[in-house]
Amino acid sequence: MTDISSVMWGIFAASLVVYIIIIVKRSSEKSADQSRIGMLEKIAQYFSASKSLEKALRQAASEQPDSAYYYKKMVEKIESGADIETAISGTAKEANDPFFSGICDMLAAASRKNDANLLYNSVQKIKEASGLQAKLDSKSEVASWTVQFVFVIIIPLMYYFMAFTLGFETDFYLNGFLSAIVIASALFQGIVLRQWPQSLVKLPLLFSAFYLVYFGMAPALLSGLSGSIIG
Amino acid sequence: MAFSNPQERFILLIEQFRVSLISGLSIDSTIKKFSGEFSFLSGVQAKIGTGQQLSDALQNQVNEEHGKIKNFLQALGAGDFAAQKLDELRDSLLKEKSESFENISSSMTSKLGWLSFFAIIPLGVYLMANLAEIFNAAELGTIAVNDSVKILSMMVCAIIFMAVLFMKRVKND
Repeated sequence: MTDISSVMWGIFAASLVVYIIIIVKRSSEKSADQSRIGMLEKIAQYFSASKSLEKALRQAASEQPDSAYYYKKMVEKIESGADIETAISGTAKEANDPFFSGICDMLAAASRKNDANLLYNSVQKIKEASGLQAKLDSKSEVASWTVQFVFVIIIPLMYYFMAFTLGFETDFYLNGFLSAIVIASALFQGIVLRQWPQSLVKLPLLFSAFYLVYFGMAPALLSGLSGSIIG
Repeated sequence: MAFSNPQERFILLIEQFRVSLISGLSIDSTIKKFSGEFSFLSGVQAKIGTGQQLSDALQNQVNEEHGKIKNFLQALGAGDFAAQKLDELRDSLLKEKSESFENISSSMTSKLGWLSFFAIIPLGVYLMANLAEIFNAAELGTIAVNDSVKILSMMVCAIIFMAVLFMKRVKND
């Protein structure tokens, strides 16, 4: 039993580390996305003020060198003699990034039409979609943690303490039932919310947490409580 | 990565199409551009390749699709009004997304309630089995709650639990 507990502690620690890495990576990606959308919004504003997309690109590239890598490339292509649409489409191909290609289509369209409002309105809609998705993702994450906390910690603990209080044995069937709902709760995030990376990492994390709580913490807590009551 | 969510990516596609059409690009050239990434657009492209007119190819593809893709293809089939129809489609998708954000709490609360209910039913079965043993021991009558009843009730509860859990009432895409 001690060996299984050690293995479970190991699985718990390893999957917790992987889960934290995924969360940190996602959070940094989200912040990079926000900065890319913010950059595009600035370009639209500069375009509106200067009435020239080329000037707007130059201004954006000079003001924010870190997040304006691809816009700098566009400016370099324009300086080497390419027309603005060729520079935009060439940079889009080199970037090999669907989101940036999408941005480039909008830049090219705004350039063809020479209309800053077209670009600005599109950026606002993209910003709205991205903001709504970020809110949905965070709300889904909270909702799935709530479901998982209830069915991995609360319900198994309740079963254990009720078994002790009402005097019945927690047998193989009950343990199997609780294990099944723990696994289902972990897969819920992937199947329903389509957040598979978190769901697959949470499966060993939640199962080991359930094992440690149900087979380790609950009996220890109960024997401690009984000891103190008798004592 | 930005717009990795399918619906988010779809909204970006609508916007890419809309601005391209407003800027003067034709529908067929825009379809050709995105046919590598989206299978329904490659379907339209393939139909055009067999000699069908754009409107016929779009109509035939509409018959094969459903949901938002069908609406998207119908908007493209609106000819000169395509950009305006795409504008309306994008706004309706954004509205739908906003509503699903508002509904997520209430649908999750209701889901959680039903899940807890089905997770607690086996407790009643164990309690009954325990009571039956007490009754039998006290010679107050024989009530039989044997292992088959336990297994059956827990299997039914586990199946209903999973059905409720995986029912797609929480829209996130």
